[in-house]
Amino acid sequence: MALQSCSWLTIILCFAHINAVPIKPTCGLQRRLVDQSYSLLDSVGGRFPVECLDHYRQITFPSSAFNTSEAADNAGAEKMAYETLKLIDTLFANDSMPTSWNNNLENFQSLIYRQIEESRCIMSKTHSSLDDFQDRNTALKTFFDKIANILTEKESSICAWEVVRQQILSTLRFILQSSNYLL
Amino acid sequence: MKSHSPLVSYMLRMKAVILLEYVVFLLLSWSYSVLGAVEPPAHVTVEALNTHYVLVWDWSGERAGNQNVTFTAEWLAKYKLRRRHQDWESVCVNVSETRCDFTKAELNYLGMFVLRVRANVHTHTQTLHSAWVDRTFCPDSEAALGPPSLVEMSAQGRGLLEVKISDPVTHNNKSMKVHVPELYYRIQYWKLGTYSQRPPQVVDSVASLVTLSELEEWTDFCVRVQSRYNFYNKTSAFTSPQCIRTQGQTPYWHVALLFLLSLSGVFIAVMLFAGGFRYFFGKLKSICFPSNQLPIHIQEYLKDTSSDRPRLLSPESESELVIGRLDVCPEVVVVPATEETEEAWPEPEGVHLDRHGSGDSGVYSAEEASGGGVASQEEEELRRGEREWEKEERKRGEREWEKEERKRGEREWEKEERKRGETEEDEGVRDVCV
Repeated sequence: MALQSCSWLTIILCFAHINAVPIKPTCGLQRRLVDQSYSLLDSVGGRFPVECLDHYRQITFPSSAFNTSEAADNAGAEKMAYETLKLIDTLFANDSMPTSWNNNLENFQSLIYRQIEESRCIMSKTHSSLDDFQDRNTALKTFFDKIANILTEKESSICAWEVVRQQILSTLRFILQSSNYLL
Repeated sequence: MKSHSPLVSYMLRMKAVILLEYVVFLLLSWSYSVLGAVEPPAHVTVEALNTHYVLVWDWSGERAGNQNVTFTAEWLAKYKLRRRHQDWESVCVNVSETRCDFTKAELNYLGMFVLRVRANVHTHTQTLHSAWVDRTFCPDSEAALGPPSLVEMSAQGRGLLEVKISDPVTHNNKSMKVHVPELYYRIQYWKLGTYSQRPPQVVDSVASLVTLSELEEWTDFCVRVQSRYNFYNKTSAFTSPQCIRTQGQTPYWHVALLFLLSLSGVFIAVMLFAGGFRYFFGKLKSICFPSNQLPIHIQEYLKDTSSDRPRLLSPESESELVIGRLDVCPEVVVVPATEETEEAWPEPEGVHLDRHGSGDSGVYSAEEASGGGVASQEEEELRRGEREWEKEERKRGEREWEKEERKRGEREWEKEERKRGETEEDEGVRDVCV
């Protein structure tokens, strides 16, 4: 009897602990937050430096990963957008960004992290079995690996980071323009 | 082998989990009591309104007499938590109250942060710290929305009320719409005194200026407003109700009364003006053109006075005397004898001739001007007229000359008499009147 009441108590305590993140009504990425992320990253520095033009390498963007089918189910593409945010977060995890970049970089990283925390529920959305989630994921991961390579090759120089910044900006722009699942 | 049903296996698993949690729970509570560490703050919450963030906690530890308990609060952007080196920013260091204002930290509204607080017990020898108690905080999703900062109402004519809403403001007095662009307002309005009887009418508006229309005229309405944000179901408190009376169409009797009053007012004003004008005009008339006349003898006196009184108009100037040529003759002593008058003849004649000459010349010149071809008969007539005119002129001249001579003689006689008188006075006693 005592054990049962204790068990219920702990279960309740467990749930209370999990609910540290506030409940929001709908599960999904907010368009205004993705838009704000774009604006923040755009404003960390000025225009693309002329001296870094030689370093610029065009990496093929995996637009196939973000394909939205004509059927209403867009969970696959939405998950890819969510994954993108996680990969951006990982990319900026080491503290090798140029010091010339201003305070908006912190706000950008904070916002990306917040979106990841808030929209975790996206990954548990069910998508159609026809959706080739793995292929999408692989294409996206390959893209971000190439971007990470730029940093390692050029030893996180300023030009490397500027190239990476432009790549991330174009990715975010693509998500904003092509998606219909953003809240 | 008894095959376990899914339900039974599930139950077994649950029991194992529960036991494990219970053990962990006991261990933790034991560690706190045994290690003798300071009790950490409890019930750590963030009270956030617009951009004012306050961390609030309780502390139920024992305070001994020689102990001093303070608290320290810090914050960090949550994405930095996984780093080895975490640069926490202190906001309140060794404060005695169980609250800390994080407003001045200027946390980014869209970001996610970790706020933490711990208790410090100061004794004479050392300072003991409690464990840190964390609190994740995201202003965008958690901070409460404040009500509109100002609501102004005005009655705008027939059954219309205009409500002007000012946005809730940040701690920097900037509009909250900067952080919450999708903020909108809910306006509740009802007729004064009917709030309890039926639910108030509701209008939702994104705009700051709302017009409530089709309201009853000339009645009191009350209004209150709250700000709302749908995505995170944020609703602010309502503003305190404000009441105002609606305007409406002016009643007909109002218009008629106003018309009559203005009509009578203008009428009275015009009458007064006319009366006043008449009065002053009469006064003016009596001053400039008086009805009273001067006595006759004074009037005559004014007319007949000699030239020593200065006058603008004198009767003498009315008749003009045109003289062609005037010769000044020397004084001639008048002797009342007819012989001398004959001697005096040639002079007037001379004068006459001159006059005649001038007269003739005038006539001749006129004749010449008209042309040479004048008939002899006309010439004779003209000559006859001239001769008659000459005679008249001569007579006139003679008469005037006689008058002047007489006057001159009289004056001379007076002078002689005066001289005679003076000589006599010299001899005798003179009565001098001073």
